[in-house]
Amino acid sequence: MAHATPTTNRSGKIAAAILLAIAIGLGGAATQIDYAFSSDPLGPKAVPLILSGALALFALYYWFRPGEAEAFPQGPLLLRSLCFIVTCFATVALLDLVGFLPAMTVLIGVTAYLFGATVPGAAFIGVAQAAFWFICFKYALGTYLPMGTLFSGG
Amino acid sequence: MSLDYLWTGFSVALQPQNLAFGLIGCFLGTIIGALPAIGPINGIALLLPIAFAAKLPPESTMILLAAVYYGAEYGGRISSILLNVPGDAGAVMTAVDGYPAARQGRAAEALTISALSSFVGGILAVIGLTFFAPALGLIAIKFGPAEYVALMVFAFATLASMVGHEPIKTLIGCTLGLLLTTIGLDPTSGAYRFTLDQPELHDGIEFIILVIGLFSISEVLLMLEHQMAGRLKPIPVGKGFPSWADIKASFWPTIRSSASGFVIGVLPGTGASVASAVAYTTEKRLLDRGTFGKGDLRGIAAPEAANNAAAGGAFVPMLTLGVPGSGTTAVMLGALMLYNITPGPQLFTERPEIAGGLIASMYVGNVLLLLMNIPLIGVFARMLQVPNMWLIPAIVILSVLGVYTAYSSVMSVLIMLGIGVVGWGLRKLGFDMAPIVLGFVLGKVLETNLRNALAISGGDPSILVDSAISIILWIAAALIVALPWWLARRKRAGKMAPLSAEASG
Amino acid sequence: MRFVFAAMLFCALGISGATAAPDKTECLVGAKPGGGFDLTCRLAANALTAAKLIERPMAVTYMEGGVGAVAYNHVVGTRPSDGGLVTATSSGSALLLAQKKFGHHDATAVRWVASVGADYGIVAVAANSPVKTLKELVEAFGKAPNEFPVGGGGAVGSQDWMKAAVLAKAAGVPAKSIRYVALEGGGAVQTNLQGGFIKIASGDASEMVANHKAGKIRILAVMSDKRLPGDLAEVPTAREQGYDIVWPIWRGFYVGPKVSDAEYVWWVDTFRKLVTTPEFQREREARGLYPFDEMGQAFHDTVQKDVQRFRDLAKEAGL
Repeated sequence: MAHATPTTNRSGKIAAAILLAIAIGLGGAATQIDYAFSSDPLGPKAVPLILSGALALFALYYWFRPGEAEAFPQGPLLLRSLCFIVTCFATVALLDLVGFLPAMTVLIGVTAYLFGATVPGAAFIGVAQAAFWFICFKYALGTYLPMGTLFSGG
Repeated sequence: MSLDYLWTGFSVALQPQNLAFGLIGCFLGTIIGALPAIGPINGIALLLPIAFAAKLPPESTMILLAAVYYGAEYGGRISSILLNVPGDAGAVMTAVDGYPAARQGRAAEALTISALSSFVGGILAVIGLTFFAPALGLIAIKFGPAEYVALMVFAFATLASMVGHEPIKTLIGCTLGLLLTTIGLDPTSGAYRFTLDQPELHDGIEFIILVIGLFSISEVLLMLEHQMAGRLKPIPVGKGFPSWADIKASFWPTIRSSASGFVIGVLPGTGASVASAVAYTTEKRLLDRGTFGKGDLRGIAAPEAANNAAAGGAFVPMLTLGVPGSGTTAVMLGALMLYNITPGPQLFTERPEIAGGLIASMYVGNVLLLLMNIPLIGVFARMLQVPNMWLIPAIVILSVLGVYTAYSSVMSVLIMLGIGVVGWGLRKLGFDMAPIVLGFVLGKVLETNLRNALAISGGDPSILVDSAISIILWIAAALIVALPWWLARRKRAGKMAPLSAEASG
Repeated sequence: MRFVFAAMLFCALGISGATAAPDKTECLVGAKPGGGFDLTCRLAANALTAAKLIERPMAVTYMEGGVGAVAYNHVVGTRPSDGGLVTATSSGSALLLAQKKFGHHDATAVRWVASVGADYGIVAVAANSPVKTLKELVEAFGKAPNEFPVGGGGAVGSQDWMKAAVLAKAAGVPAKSIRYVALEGGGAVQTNLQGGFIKIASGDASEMVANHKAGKIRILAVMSDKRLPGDLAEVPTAREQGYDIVWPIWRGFYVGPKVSDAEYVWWVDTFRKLVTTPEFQREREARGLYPFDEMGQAFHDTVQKDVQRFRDLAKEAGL
């Protein structure tokens, strides 16, 4: 992975701060773990507490020595990455509602477009691959695929 | 032990009908293994009803199901190497060196060496199964919670090899992996930890969800950036066969990994994922001169030998103790019981056509798999020539669909995507994914067994070093940490000898 | 995750017969393939088709999470009126309902249709143990509880743990002082028993019977109201030995809360017919289950009663 920017990097510091926050959050949540009693002397809290403590220490060290990192995407590049992420989440979240074929056609189409297909090309890839995988999984492997409650009314 | 059952077995396994079932099983297994998230357990769940409906005799059913099982261990490597998407749990470590090798245009070499090492691992496991099954069954009994703790400590010691030039990132990754295992139902106290009141999180994060997210989705995001920046270069096809030197170099790692993988597979508490992780990290610890993680063929051979050997080892407790050695063998055990067959040592004498037929079919099956896989390598390797606009949507859809079909829940897929985005961020920051996965694989076994050991002893930690097995494993752990350091030191001392040699000893 | 041995069985498909009622039937498994819920669905799917009580083969689908909690919420929340859908359930679900670990719904949120079989709790020791009867075990355990680590296939609060707690109570040992070892399923319980790491095993009959028969472990008592048929016929019940412990692990089905009365009655009647057929009885036995047939209202009552019983036990044990 090329193009590493050496020495102090801001993203490393941000990541360290997030990790520290996660460590503190998990540590706090670990003390709240609700149980009556455990049959072992350690109990369910000990390991999460030790681990979140360790993570906090490591995150602090990382804050001071963030090391090297690649630059995160910016501008149009970031926009494209976000577009992919949002499409993934949105189509999957709608999977049960609209069903496999429409949701996955969109996901495949958008991904194909982002990877260089033209709009009609992406549409074609979307339809073709969605149909192909649908047949593979539904009929060849016999797995359950959502048909969409929106249309069946079930 | 008399081997009569085995000769009976070969006469069963070589019947045309059973040979055909073996072939079908191997083929389906390879495909099921190559598809992410869909593992052998799904394949067997799918085939068993069909086998019953077709009224197959029990030995044919077992031959078919076993072929799917170890066929999947062969298949898992394909998507690991080509797409960085581990096809099944045992194939995660194969991606670590396999994928970089494929990116360098050495996909065919990587696939060949991994097919060969899979074969060696598989065959050695069957040989072990043939000659030592009853004795090995005892090992499974000798492993109590304290012994599992020692085994996990040993595994963590081999992890020391993963520490790269930025140890802090390895440590953070490993800690994150360990923390992820604490999500869900605590198997000892029954408390729910970090579940946010979501029933989907009660069972914790599934290994395969973590792995698909970390490897496949983050990889797609990285490729997307490279695509936009025009840095995504077409991959050369490269020459087909690994050089003789490469094969020779991989020989001992393959043998060692087969042995350790087999033993880990025999233990009911650990499986192919632990086996391949230990094999990879051990070989890296022993052999790495800066090439591991960058497409070293030995780093591909080791985990593949180990996961195939572990799959074979998992049959030992199933056949000799009637206790499953893995989730998949648990399903097969159930199949045997449906035929009113009780597994156990008496199986070898009372129903030699089943025990023997199964074992003999594994010899035949491994040969079939090798013969089937070698000619296909060219075809698979050419998959990388498929244009990205076709290939990458397929990776995405297989990741999504694989998780969805395995867990039938949108929430699991969303968790997988979330993990993928985090993994992408971490990879940009220079984190390796492997320590996270290793922490995850080992963490649960370690915590559960540590706490169970202390529950048995009432809190007395001396139980951890109470048996010969534990002590041996603790010493081995100390050695694996110290050995490379000691070797390096001796080398240096050797150069400076005789002046300072004694002073530093 | 529990691996009940017999639970790993699958069978399905078959040839369809002809009757009326829901045109599409589906059995929902609230877990991965291979567990107890899967076994229950496969049992129904196979037997219903074999006995020609449904027209087309019943589909078996999977929805993993929270030992059935995700499926329970799904049925109540998303498909409450789907008359073709039955979901596999077990006394383990009643336990989770009792502990309020089944989401926001309680045991009256669905319509309980029928139970189709049960497994029974057992107490076992290693084959080389000097202890030969339940009475000897309880006495020895009462004298030196620390000498007897108890293994079960579930966490504190699980059914295996509860069986151990009931036994401990008989021995005068408080639940909190049991050295309870939560192992991963019945297989691990048996290897740990044979290895001598635990001294008492709390488990289910079907998963232990093979090793009992092979002489590797000794089942001291079955927690059923009368002796179990087959290989365990010579093992006395706990009750015979003076301890009133009966612990069935029943398996059955529920449908959504808004399923019409007509459809509900159809399911109850169908299961009532089913359990008397030889096809069903053969399938049930192959899965290591014993008869436990309760239909409609009777099953509803059993579930509610068990939820209450589990709640009382948990409270008593200090959970």
